[in-house]
Amino acid sequence: MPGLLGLEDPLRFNNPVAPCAVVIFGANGDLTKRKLMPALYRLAYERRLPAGFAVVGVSRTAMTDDAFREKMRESVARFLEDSPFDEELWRSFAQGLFYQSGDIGDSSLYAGLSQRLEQIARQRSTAGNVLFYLSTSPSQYAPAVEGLGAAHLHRREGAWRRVIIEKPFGHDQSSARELNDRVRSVLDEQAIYRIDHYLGKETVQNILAFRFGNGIFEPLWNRRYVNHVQVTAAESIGVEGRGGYYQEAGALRDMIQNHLLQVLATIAMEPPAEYAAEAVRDERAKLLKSIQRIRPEDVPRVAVKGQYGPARIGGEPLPGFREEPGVDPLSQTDTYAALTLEVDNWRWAGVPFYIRTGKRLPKRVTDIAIEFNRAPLAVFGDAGGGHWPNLLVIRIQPEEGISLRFSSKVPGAGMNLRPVMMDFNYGTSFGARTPTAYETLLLDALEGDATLYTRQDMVEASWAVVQPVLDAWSETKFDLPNYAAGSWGPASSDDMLAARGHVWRVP
Amino acid sequence: MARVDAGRLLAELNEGWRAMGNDHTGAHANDSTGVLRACSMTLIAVASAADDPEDLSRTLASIMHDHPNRSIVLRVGVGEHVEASTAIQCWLPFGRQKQVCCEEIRVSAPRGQLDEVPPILRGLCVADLPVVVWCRDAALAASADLAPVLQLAGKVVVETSSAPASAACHSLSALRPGHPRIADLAWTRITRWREFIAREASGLCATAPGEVTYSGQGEPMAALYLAAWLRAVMNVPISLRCEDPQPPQPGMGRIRAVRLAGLEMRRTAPAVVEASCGLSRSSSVFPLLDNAALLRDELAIWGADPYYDAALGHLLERR
Repeated sequence: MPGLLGLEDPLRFNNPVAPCAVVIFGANGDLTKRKLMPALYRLAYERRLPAGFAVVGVSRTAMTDDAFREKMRESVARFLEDSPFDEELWRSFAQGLFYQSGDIGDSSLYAGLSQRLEQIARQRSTAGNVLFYLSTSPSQYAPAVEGLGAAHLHRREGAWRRVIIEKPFGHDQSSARELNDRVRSVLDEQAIYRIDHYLGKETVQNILAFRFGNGIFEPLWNRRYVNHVQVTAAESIGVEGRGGYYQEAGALRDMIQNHLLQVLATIAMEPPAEYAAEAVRDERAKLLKSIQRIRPEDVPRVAVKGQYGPARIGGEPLPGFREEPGVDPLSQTDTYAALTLEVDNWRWAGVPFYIRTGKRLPKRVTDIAIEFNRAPLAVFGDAGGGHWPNLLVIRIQPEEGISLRFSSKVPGAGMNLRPVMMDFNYGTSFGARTPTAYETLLLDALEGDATLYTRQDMVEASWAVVQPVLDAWSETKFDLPNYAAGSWGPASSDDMLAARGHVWRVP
Repeated sequence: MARVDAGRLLAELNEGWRAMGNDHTGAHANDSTGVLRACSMTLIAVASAADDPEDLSRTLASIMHDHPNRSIVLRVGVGEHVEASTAIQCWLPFGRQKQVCCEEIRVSAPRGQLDEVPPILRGLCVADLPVVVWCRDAALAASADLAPVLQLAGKVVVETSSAPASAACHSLSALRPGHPRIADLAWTRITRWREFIAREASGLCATAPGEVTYSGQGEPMAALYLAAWLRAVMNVPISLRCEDPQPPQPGMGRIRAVRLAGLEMRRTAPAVVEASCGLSRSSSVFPLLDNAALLRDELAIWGADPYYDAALGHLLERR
């Protein structure tokens, strides 16, 4: 009879990853080269992958296994972040790399893949467990899943089969539903891992630790103490050669519908009953469903669309969005989007959540600022801290950390107050390297942990938030561009906050 | 000889930080260059006169990356008076432009003057952060002289791998009542064995007695811990047997094999353990671990460690 404790020691043992193979559709693409393969290599470096682990790259280009290995070696050596490249480890890792060419719409690809996987299972003892990663163009997600289903690759007796689907999950609410219907006609929800790499960022996960691992903040985390919340995701770069793609997506679809709404859900969700996939995802989903639906007539009041124009910065001329390669000179695409959202629940009723994102803003920064109510009585008069209410800033990138602004007396005679920041810098307390979002998320999927993956109801709830804005914008002709590269966005964005007596922070 | 004063040592450290700040003019926390002051605990490393200070320093430098701390190296039985000095250690994390720096304070004291040290250490511990004492010599850790130093710690880490089992158990028995958080690097060393056993023996219904074998003279603490853990978690009798009185080859460790209900796991090479059960065979790589790697693992555990406590309880009960 076993003892009370059991053999597993969760304090010291890593979660075991079962023997398995990963199949990457779109193996010749940028994501595979820049993120996926470096992440898998790094997991091998950390000894987190099982013996016999294999990767099968799938793409249209004809290529031998060796050519694929060489291509991946170059990519890993080039794109590995904060980590050394070890030739010896690479040689052992590369033995598990294979390549299969073919067209996603062609059934012979899946027949070949099936044979290949059987062969690999025998040679490398992967036990028939396979994680499929769809890193293709979004239009190929459904055909790929249907191809897997038709070839009976989506399930196997005594083994697990899982599918990771990259964002964007649909380009609007109805296409997201349609995609889901097609995917669900083949796969159970438990086998679907919709990836949002923002949720894999260490600092986004740290929001959960900050909120639910500490006792002093949660009592303040509600409408009684919080005045408003600002979420900023600014990029200083433009579209960087992705003009064609970006023109179809825009800032609202590309950033807010997925990443920033997930961040908002993490900030505002109720505490989960336990740190387990469904408990956490239930709370995130509940929060997203609680976001007040925007009525079409309210869109001009609560949503701002922007597009950057040309500018000279540091003596260098920068093109406007419409001058970028591959972009329509009359494009109506949003390179900046800002929303005012309200959450209809007891905790947050009446508290505005402002979200903004944009390209060619003054700097690259992603953070969440929670502004608290002012002190109820200004006992220090005009010299007091009333002008500077307490502000809690959770910095996601580039310098991860948490800051709290409070008022302090200026040294010397009199009672003059001024704001000071108390900073916690993630790097100050932890010198160790943090895993990349893709390392975290890939490992989670291999372990069967879907906590940081989005569920269909979350995807649909997010689309429901932005869909009225997308609809209204598609029916309106905007006078664009309306902000200069290097500025903090269009003036109408400031007006949106000013209408409620608020101003955007300068992060 | 000037009296050793915690305030003076801290002022010295502050001066060091100021000088480093001046070396990086204009650098502050938001710059991509400059230095970053890192600290998550106070680590008091107690060493005897026989310990190699350079080796100790290398170990402490190595763990700084994962557990930045204010290190206080207390060398016991050295010199004629209590003496102290300060240093700041920096490193440049891979791919970063900003150096991460930590503080080190070196204190030495003759054995007879150890009672003068705790007041100094109290003044040197970083406020409001955990304190860990790492003392490689379990007998020294258990001595009455060091008791006031150990009282400062939330966790005490010792190392019994090279001590005779009876002496090690005696020291652990003496330490246990006063310190609810005891850790032993000899236990940390067998984590890979335990992990491998957990994988291979999951689902195994072991009712027959099992066995742990070892090489070399005298029962090694690693084998005693492994047997005690197996007894605690599997509830079957586990015996210990010397398989070969010759000392093991370098890197092999003293545990040779574990047998449980038809399953055998055997060390076949310095970094390899093979498991066999009937016709089925598998192997696992056991990386060679130095003190820094072991300490790094141990410092990551702050709360109660019921697995170690249960194994230690079983071990001490039987001796």
